[in-house]
Order: sequence, then structure tokens, then C-alpha cells
Amino acid sequence: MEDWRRIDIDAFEPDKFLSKEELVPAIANPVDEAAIPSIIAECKAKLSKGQFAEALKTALQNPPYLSSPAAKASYDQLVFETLISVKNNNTDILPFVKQLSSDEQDTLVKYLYKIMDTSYGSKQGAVLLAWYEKTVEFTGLGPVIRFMSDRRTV
Amino acid sequence: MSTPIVYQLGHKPIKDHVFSSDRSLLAITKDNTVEIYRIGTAKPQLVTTLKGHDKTVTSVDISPDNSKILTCSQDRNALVWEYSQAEGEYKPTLVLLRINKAATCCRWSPNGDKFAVGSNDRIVAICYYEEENDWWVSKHLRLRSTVTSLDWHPNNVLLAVGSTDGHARVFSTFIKGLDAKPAPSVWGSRLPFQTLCGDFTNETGAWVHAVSFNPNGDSLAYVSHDSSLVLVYPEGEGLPPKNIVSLKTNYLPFKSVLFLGENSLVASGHNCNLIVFQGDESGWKQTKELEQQKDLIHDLPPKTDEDEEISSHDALNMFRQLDLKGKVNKASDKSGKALSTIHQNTVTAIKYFTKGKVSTSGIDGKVVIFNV
Repeated sequence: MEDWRRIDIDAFEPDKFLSKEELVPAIANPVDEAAIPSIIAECKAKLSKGQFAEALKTALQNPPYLSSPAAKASYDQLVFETLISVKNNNTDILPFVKQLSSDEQDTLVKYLYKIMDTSYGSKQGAVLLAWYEKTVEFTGLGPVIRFMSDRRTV
Repeated sequence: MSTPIVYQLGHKPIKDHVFSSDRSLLAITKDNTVEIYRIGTAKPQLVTTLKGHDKTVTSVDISPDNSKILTCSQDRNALVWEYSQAEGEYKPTLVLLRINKAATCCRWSPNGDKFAVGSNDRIVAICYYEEENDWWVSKHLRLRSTVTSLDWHPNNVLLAVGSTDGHARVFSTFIKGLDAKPAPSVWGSRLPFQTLCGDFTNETGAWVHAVSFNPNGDSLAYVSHDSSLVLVYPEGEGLPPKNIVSLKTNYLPFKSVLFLGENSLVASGHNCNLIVFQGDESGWKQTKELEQQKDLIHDLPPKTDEDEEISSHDALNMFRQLDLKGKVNKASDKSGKALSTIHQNTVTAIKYFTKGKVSTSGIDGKVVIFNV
């Protein structure tokens, strides 16, 4: 048979079948979907006041792992705007990376990969790559590995 | 500190290796076979090749009394090999595993009277010898995902199981009539077969690659594909753990972990280097990298000729060689591209060798004995 790698071998053992839900690990939801608009508003307020470091932390502290695609998309947009705004108003972004916690750095790299995949992100590739370069230069490969292996996707 | 001893045993991946307890024999997996080498002379001497599996051998282990060799393979079988004096070779005995998918890992228990085989079939088969039928039979521990790694508790009953759902679990493998009742420990006191004594996970849900009990068996370490190392200190039956120490590292993920003592351990894997950690219940930290390692990000290898534009004269020579010999001899050495560590590819297993020494095997076909 040509396509033997695609055979669903679990189908031959119905008593061992696991449903899709059973295969998803239990993920704690760090943020309620209803709270997302207020986080976005808070973050934007900090940006307009010039509190870039605080805005970045706010955006990366509570990534919506389990929210609806629409809510996630609006959050992507927020992180993107924050990154652009920090980059445009500061000559050096390395201090901003350094003041993030390890978890926040991991989240930052997850968002960088995700935003690069969006239509608005691909137009600002240089800015995203600058963030990526500085982050990975400071942290090492850990956040990249965790972007690939973490079941909690942004 | 003396230099590590390096055995280059071909160039095929070594999935697992094990030394006999007197350190005179070395068994390694290679494709569908297991090769046994005699160590001691300058070069390892190939003693024999165990041929009995139809697919890749995934794990090998030698029983504590050195009398039996256990192998398991993706062909869904495990074999116990015993040396037959009469015939002068190793003879395999089939184990009734009753699994329908690949066997991934196997380990003898500390007493050598039973062993565990983990599989892709979401099962760990606990195997023991049945005298009247003259074969190895098994009892099943059932899980929800592929088993990646196993480690026995020193009491011969508890077994740590790492799996691809990101969990490290501790099960009882108590077999009536075979095991003496184990003394109560932090893992529990009443331990019928398949009692779940501990269930731990990492926050990312990444695969657990290796599990290891500490020497006295009161805590458990595991490494996952999110480059983390986790140590669990249980409090006792029914109680939440005293402490869970989770270390996120910035290396490539570890594939193997081994305790060097109660307060130190060594981990290695895709990073190709051995990393030593020290600590106790209150916290662990990295103390050293065994080999000087160039950072993939900060210390880029020097540019080789290939990156430069080649002159027309070089190009002409290249094609002439291709025409004459069918290949190109490049004058430049490969040192620019080689890793700065001894292992040039993923380290698949770390085993205890002697005091202060550990042995490692890798995808690059090397077995190395390091001083730690």
C-alpha cells in the first residue's frame, strides 16, 4: 500500500480510541476572555503615556491561551502595536527584553513567530526580526525551543 | 582531570548503550541488531552481534548479575539473551509482551527478577519469569500515551514512567508471589499492582524524555522537550509534594538525566554537551558545562571556503575532479562546521560508569566515558 503512513492505526483498536479532547493537555487559562478588552485598553493607555516597559509587560503577562480565535487575533494586534511602538520610540530595545521575566520572554518569542505569519506583521518584518535578534541573543535558544514544544499556543 | 575515553563504533546512531557491571562488556544498539564489545584493550573488540529483531532496536539493558541481556525493538518484541556455554553463543528467549506497537524502552529491575518494557501502545509491560511454562510473561500498566522512558526505584517495586503527554508518573509494579512487601516510603505504603503513586507534569505539556529516581529513591527528576529539568520531592501518601523545583534552561532539550549523588545530577541531549546541576530540596542550579562549548548564536564558526566566492580556476579544478573521481576533494578541513564538543550529534543515553565517571552514547555512533 502506497499510503501506509497515513493509515489511522488507532481505528483498528476501538477500545483504545482516544477522543480529540482527551489528547489535549489540561491547560490553565491565565486570562478570562471577557478581561481581554480591558487588558488591551490598559496596555494602550500605558503606551500613550510613554510607559513602554510597563506596556510590554502588561501585554506579555497574560497571553490568552484558550480564547476564541477572534479574541486571540485582537491580542496579536495589541502585541504587534506594542512592539512597533517600543521600537519606534527607543533606540535600543535590549533593555526592554532584559527587564522581562523568563516566562514573558518565552511569550514574546511565541508572538514574534505568530505575528510574522500575519499580513500586517510581514510588512514590518525588519522590526520583528530586530526584536527576535535581541531577544534570542540575550536569552539563548530556550524560548525558541519552548515556542516549538509548548502546548499552550498564543 | 583526564581526558574522556572515546569509542567510535561506526557511524550509525546508537539509541542506547549499557556496560556490564564489571565494565568489561559494552552492548550498543545498531539498526536491527545489538553489538557486544569487549572493553579493556585500546580498541573495543567486537565479540558478537545479536540478530533477532526485524526492526530498529530501541533499547538494551544487561541484568544486574550480568547473566542476561534484554533488548526491545520497534518490531513489538522484547528478547532476553542468555549465553549458552554448549553452543558458545547468545540464545534469545521471546517475551510475551502482548503489545501491538513498537517497544520504546526496557530496563531490568534492581534485583534482576523482572523488567519493564515501555511501548508506543500506551502500555508498560512488567515482565517476570514463569517457571512452569519456561517463559517471560507480562502484566500491563496502562497509560494514555507513548512511553518514552523508565526508571526503577531501588526497592524493586516502584517504577517511574515518562511519556509523550508531558507526564512523569510513578507506578507500583508489585507482583504477588514474586516481590516481598516493600517498606513504606514517601511514595506510599499500600502498593498493589498499578497503584499510581505520583503524577507530575510540566507546564508546557512537552514530551518527557527521561526520568530518574535519586539514589535513595525519595525524589524524582525528569527532563522534557521544553528544555526544562524538574525535580519532585514528595511528602507522602495523599499529600501534595513538599517541593517541585523546575529549571528552565536555554539549551536544546535534554534526552537523558542521571543522578551523580543525592545532590548532583548530569543531563544531556540535543545540546551534545553534558550539563551538571547541583542542589537540594530548596533549589537547584547549573554548576558547570562539562565541555567548553561554542555558543551557536554568539560564536559563529569561522567562515569556510564554501561561503566565499570561488575563482574560475578553483571551479575548473572542481569539475575536473568530479569528472575523474566522481567526487570533490576539498582542501579545507571540516573543523569550521564541526561542533566543539566530542559528541557531534544528540546524546541518547547517560549511564553511570564508575565513581566520578559516566558513559554516554550518541546518534553520531560514539560511546564516550566522561569524568564528571
